[in-house]
Amino acid sequence: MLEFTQPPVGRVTFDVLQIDDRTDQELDTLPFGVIGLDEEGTILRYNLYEAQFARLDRNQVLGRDFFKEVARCTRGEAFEGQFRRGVAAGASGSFARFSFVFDFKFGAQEVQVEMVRPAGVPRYYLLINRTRVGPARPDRPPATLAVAQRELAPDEGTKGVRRDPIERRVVEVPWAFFAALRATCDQLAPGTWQMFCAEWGVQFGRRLAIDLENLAIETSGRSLGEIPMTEFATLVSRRLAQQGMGRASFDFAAIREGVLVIEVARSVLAEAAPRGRRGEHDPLSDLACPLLAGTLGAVAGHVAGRRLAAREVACASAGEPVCRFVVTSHARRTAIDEALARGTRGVEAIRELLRSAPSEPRDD
Amino acid sequence: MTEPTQPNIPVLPPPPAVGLAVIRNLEAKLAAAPSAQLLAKVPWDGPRLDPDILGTRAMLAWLR
Repeated sequence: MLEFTQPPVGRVTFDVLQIDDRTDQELDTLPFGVIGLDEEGTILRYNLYEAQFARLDRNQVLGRDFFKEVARCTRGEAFEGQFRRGVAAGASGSFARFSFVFDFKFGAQEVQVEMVRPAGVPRYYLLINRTRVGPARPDRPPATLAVAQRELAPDEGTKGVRRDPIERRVVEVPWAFFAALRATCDQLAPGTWQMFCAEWGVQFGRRLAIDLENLAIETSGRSLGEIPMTEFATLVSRRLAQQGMGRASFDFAAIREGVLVIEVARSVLAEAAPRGRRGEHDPLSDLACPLLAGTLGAVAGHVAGRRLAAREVACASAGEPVCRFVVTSHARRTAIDEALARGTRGVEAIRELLRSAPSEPRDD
Repeated sequence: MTEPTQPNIPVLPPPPAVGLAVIRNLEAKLAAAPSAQLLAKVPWDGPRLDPDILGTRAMLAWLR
């Protein structure tokens, strides 16, 4: 039986009884599905992980009846019955745990479910962990299958909404979008825009990690942490390439020094940046990809279950053949940042620096 | 506007043994001698740091 207080993915401890206090942004970084309901079964909250696996847009499911309008496969004693009984009994805390199979039109998903009511609030949470996914079960009557996105919003294509093959809303932007972003950064926040973009990357990376968890379990039935490093690297590289961000390669030569090196060829951020300038008042202006660094660090940190730092140490915008990033423990970030601010560039120079920089013991 | 497709799971084929990501410079997998601490806590398949074998979390545990 699952211990949701210690999710199987990562090492983040999580007290399910405090879940009502979590913001939507926090719920979006959890590696399992979270659905908040009122006592009638109306959907109040729906996190990113659940939206990705159910292939539904949360904006379309909020306010709907979970059992009747969205997850019709949950009607009946095995799932809805446990919820109704818990509500009727005034249950509090964790009041049901069971295995179930979600039936979608696009496939079936074996899940483990925990139902929780945090103390003192009239809200109920379904915590859902996917254990296996597979093709649709042929014997399921169509009327009992979970709803599909196109049923919830059948005419959205005429309203300027685009979706990818797994029903996520996507936006196509030209290269100039990133050039405009960088120009805005240089104009409004010279010398500090890197912090903004790095954090933007971290926030995106946490969500990308959920996307990659989805891919990992669909392709190999295992979490990101369990698949071989090569497969992880492939998933990351493939996803970034699909998004047009560039092509990532992983170099493990320095792993025994506690450093992972990632190269990104044809980074859209580097190519959208002004060429080869290190500003007098912006000593990091030649490193154009802090957003990508934040993303890579957050994805790696998600898998490692601890904070990691990723920094770009050489950039194609300054004439390098590719952009290079180092990923280390969070404790070493200050040493790297100080060196970069002094003008140190390149993987070898940073490796040399780190050999005498503070590090943390491996936390395994 | 093209209607969205709705493929069956899995969306993507299983990743190839060596995919888009170029795994460079694998000298480490031949030479690495993991610490006793790591040996004790990570399933280990011989004295190697092989990204084709070692799980991602175990590999990232080396970062410090």
